[in-house]
Amino acid sequence: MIEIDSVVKTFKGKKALRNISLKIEKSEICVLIGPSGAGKTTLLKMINKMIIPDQGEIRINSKSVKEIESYRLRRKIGYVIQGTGLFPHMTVQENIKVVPGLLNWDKKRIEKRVYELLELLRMEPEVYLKKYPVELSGGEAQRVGIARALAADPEILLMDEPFASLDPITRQKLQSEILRIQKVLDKTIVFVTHDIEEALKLASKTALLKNGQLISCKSPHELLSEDDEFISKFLGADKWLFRLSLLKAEEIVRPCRRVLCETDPVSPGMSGFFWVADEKMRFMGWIDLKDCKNRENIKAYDLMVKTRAFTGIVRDDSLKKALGIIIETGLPRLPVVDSAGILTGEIMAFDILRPELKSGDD
Amino acid sequence: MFKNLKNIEMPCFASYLIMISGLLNSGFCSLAQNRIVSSAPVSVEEIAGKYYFIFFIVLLPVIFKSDKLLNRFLKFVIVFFVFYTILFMAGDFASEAVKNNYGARFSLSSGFWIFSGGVIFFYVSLISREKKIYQRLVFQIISFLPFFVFSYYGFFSDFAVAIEFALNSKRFFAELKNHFYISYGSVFMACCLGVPLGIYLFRSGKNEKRVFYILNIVQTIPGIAFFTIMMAPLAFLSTSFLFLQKAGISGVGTAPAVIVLFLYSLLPVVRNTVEGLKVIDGSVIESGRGMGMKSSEIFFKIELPLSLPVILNGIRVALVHCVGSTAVAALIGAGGLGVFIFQGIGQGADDLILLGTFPLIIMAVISDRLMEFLTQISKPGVFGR
Repeated sequence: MIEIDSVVKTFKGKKALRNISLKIEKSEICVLIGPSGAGKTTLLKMINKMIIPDQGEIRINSKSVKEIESYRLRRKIGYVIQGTGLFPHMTVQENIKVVPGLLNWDKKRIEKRVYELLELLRMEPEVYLKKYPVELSGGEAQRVGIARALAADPEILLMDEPFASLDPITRQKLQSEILRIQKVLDKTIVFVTHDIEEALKLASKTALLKNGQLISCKSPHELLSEDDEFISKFLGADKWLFRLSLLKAEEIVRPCRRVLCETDPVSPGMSGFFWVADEKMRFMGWIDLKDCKNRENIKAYDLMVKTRAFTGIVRDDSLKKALGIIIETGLPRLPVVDSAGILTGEIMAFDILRPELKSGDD
Repeated sequence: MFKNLKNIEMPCFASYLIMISGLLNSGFCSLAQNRIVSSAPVSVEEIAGKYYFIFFIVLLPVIFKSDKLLNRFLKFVIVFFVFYTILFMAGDFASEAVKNNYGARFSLSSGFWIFSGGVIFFYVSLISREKKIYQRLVFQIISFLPFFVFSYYGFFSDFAVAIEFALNSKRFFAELKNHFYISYGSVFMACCLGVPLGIYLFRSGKNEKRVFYILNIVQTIPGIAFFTIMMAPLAFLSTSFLFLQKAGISGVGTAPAVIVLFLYSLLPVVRNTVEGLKVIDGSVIESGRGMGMKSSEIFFKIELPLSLPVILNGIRVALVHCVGSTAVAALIGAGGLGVFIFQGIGQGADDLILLGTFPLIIMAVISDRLMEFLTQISKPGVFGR
């Protein structure tokens, strides 16, 4: 557990941090977020004594960091920075070995640990061990950066905008990796970013900073519901989209009302919108029976709009994704399927826009 | 015809033309009846007989493109076969001349130098294409090994340079050693002071401008003037302090030479040390610190290995410069290969000048290659192992 207790820091007369107190519980992912110059990185670097506070104290497991020699402290805290900071003259293997080496682990244990870590980050050891950082892509390099930070199995992991220089796809992949690793290893992670989407995806707690002050320290849900002027300004009009990205499809799913089997005949009296599924209820496509009047001996399959673009959304998908698909396909509703592709329900476009979703907890 | 033009490799074609023009030069070599009288030109025809133009045809395939390794290998064999055949024939001609008249001096002259210029141009333009070290080595062996073998077995011993060498051999080796000690010693001393000085300048962040200001001024003083400037104060010091005199320090000789060369070498060494440390990405140092390295560990495990290639490059520049400048130091009695050069100039004996310059060039090239090699192996992360 990390306790930040009324910390003040001034750089050359400019106040970087004004009396910040923050508690980060064990196993939490605390994301420090705010515009640039807000003091996020300064706060983060105080935890491993890269920066010493003018006033106030930081305690890790109730012990003040002042009492621990800085190099000892840092060896027990993983540190990942933007642009990886990998040592260019060392191979992947040598890079990961650094901290265990400083801690005088025995050689066999270090070797084993390197393999373990690369496998944890889904990098084949045989391929990557002997590579130099220049031979890695940005994403691979930052994976190694994370592996290196985890090498000595620290309780705490500090990450200072680790994915800021990566492309969006790689960034999302690595964010998911962090969540996965967190589930496996159960670390306390302090994460600095200015990317609100990243913060909402990763955080179990978001600490919003502005001009060296802590504006709010809440769960992402609560942050988005807050009515503060600065928060609204910081999030912008996207606030509602972010909110949708935190909501899952299952929250507004309804049972399907009108479903046709692909072999069902379409009788002249029918009209309206239908989902089409096969005998096992696997989602196939849809029919919009509005303007086809003369129908005889026609099966649902023949009229169906087949979908290549998507095969339905699952209950875990965010409403933001659902909205995106609604805009893309122009459908007023979306099918919800399970992992086998079986139709289990539907969500309506107007449900996404329902006002009660905006305000607070459902 | 223009279609065929595509198959011609331009650098090789140029070197072919240079080689031919060298061979056609009437003053390919020169022969003097003794050391004092002026010499008469000797053409390739006189050396190789009237069918010497066969060489032009033998060399012709060289101008074509050679994307395959085997073709390049053959080109090397052709060029150096012709080169050594001609040199061999010239050696034979020299022996003949010396046999008839013991005082005769047979020298290689303008035509030969143009021809070997063409050969060197060919060598340089092709060797850079060999990326693998062992391939390069094979090509280098083809090019240089025959020279040493032939000279060892005395095929070239009747060239005037070789005669001068035989006459001066004892002095030659002494001066070669002298040259090596003066130039390498000065650079070594410059490293001993320059690298720590560079580290200090980088660390403290102060005085950098002032130190470079001084070193830059030192660098602009012409060598010969600098050697002379050092003479007066050193002479004064050595007469005032007896222990300096006993240590062999005086206004002339090795001491002023070493001091001047040391001062010259300081700038590249210090500058590259500072630059080498400066170019290290700040995030690398920061992550080192963040991982709990002490500052000594950061220095020895990160900063030094990362700046080493740049520092070595500075030493290389200093070394090559020093090996050359040491020749001038002969003027103030420091010895070294410059002795032969200035003696040769004084006596109008070109071959004596060559006796000084040849080993000088070889020493400079070897120093350059050696440092280049060290630079390459000191940066594993950049070029692979």
